[in-house]
Amino acid sequence: MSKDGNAGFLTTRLNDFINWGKKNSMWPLPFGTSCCGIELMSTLAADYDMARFGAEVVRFSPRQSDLLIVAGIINLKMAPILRTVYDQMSDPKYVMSFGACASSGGIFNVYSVLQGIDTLIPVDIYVPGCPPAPEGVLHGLLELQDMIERGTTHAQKQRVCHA
Amino acid sequence: MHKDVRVAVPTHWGDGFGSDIAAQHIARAQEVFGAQILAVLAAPEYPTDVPILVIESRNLVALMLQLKSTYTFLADITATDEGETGQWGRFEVVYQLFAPREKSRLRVKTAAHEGAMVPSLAHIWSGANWAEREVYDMFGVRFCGHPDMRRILMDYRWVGHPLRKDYPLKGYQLFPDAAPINPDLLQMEEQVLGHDSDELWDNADLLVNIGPTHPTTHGALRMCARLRGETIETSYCEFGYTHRAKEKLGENRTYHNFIVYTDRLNYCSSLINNVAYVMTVEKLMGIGVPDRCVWIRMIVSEIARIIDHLICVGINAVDLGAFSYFLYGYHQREEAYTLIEKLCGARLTTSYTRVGGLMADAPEGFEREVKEWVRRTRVVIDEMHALLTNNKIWRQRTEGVGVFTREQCMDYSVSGPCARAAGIDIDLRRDQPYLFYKNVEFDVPVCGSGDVFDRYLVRIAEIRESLNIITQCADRMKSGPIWTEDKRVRIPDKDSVHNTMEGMIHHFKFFMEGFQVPPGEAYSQVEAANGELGFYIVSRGGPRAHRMRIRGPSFWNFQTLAAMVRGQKVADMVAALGSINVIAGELDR
Ligand code: SF4
Repeated sequence: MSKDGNAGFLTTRLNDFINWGKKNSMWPLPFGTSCCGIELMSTLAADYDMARFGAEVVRFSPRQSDLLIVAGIINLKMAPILRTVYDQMSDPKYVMSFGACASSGGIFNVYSVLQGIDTLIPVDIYVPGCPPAPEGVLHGLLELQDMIERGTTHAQKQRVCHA
Repeated sequence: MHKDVRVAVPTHWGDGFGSDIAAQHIARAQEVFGAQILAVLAAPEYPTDVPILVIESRNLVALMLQLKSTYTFLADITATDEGETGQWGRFEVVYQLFAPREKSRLRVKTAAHEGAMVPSLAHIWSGANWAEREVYDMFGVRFCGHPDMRRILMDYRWVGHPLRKDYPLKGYQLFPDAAPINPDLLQMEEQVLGHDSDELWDNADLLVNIGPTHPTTHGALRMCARLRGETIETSYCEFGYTHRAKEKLGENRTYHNFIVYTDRLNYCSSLINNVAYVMTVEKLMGIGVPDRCVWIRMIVSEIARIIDHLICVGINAVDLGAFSYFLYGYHQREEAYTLIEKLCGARLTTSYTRVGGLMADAPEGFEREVKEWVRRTRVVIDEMHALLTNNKIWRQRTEGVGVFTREQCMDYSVSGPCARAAGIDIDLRRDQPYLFYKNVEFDVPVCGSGDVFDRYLVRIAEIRESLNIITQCADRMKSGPIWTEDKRVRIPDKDSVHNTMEGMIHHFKFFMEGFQVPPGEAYSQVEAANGELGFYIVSRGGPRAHRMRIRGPSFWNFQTLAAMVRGQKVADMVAALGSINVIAGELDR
């Protein structure tokens, strides 16, 4: 209701409304394993404050979160655990690959390191850097929000296919 | 006989290797063991920084027992793969010993053929346990008399031993699932699970698994515990979830290339790793650096130490519920990162040092900005102190929790703030001074009870001391060159690279081939934020190391956790783990 007494209407499609809700209330699960995890903490702390974009409710339980942020190295010993965590998350779920190590193995092309988590789980957005600067992470988050709004994340596309 | 046993150690490494004490012990060992001593290697005949005793493996335990009266601190155990060319066997197991009171270092080696056993030292120093497991994991050398000869970093199904020279750098092995909790390791009787519920209640043993993605483990560690009620009866730790083969990379990359990998050890204080690493290479090559370079290296080391301590106490507090405290520390840390960004353009992974110099000189007015930052940080530290130190909840949660006594610390080779909290008055900056630490004044804070609260106090006091050191450095730093004159490691300046053909070729060869390091071996130790950080480099000539060993304090400190939390509550485990500040990058390497 505006000041002059007119009732304003908000018309939208239900789907858009739900996507709007989803994008502004992401609950991240920080899967921080190494150096990138520290930068992720900086992003969550007061100076960069990820809460401004509705993504501050950090949950360490995969059942309660919908954004998996893989920050740091995933080595071959860790790989099955990452897959389990991903499988435990309920739909719709999004994956951010944070940093060079998670995206491609980074500078570690060696016997123990998984060469990119996309060999294991679908990734929606890659944030480059070693480690990415907090600004970069926020940019990645905003991009992901756009994708959710447009319905182009892996989880959303899959639902369309199944329907 | 071996009177002068040092190589030409550059001046900024200072003295303090206690060569006369080492010579005495070597002479005594030669008397007692005679022909069992295979060799005594010392400079100038053999290029090494400290003398080396090579002994037959069957007399190793007797020798160590004799040496332990003086060399009470077992700094490191590692091995090298000598292949076919080994003089005494394929593998050489290397022990680094330190005598804190005499300030002397000694290295002992023993050899093992393929498949041969080496006696374990786990009953002499409890800390040897994990280090020997690592040698087994990486090289396949078995230790007889070891209580628990299992793999430690690699998966239990792994085939082969990665640090052997014949293991390929990219020999991936992927397993479909993670390792389950192993009840045998908890000496758990299977019957508990088979009993009916009443009995289970009487004998309420519960297996819990914490990690590797648990919020309190900060980085990828895993702890399995058997509980009675809420009390931890036994537990064991698993790690290796961030193993990135840095030691293998050290053998496959040039000395220059390896600098970036040192950032990723303890990433909370990567500048200290950078400094420690290049100092080791400089020691091997006998290179000294100009004064300004040394002062800058000191300043950045101390800034890194402060950042590390802020993260440690901040996160320790978060784990126990004091969230706002963490935000204070993190804000100050962001300011420090701004300073570091001005030096090298990066926040976390700095790669700031170069062998023989620095990536870039400090910018104009850096000293002034550093002093400003020091002033502001002092205020923040006071605020943080007022916020937490006398907080009733904080004290109840930390006092008397996670106690590790002085004797236990020596037994487990604990170093750094954790050791000082237990009353061990060792600080390598004072005891084996490197850089210009003997030219600045600072105190070494020591507490007595060795609980979580004391570790917190020591860290806060160390932050204050580091701030003092930074001010002194900034005052005494003068303008001047930051690069050594030594042509071997000097990165060609861009002017000649862009304008002359010779300069271009030199530049290309420098980066593509790397510089040559003469044969020899050196172990360097610096006081990193969590304790003794050592690099042990064996060079056989050429641009790559023959062996690049990293002695990270986290590995040794983390080993204490199971003993520390026995009989305590699960929630106390969280407090204890936070206070040892285990950094996964350094733990797993
Ligand atoms: S991308 Fe760089 S900073 Fe991130 S985990 Fe890998 S090495 Fe560390």
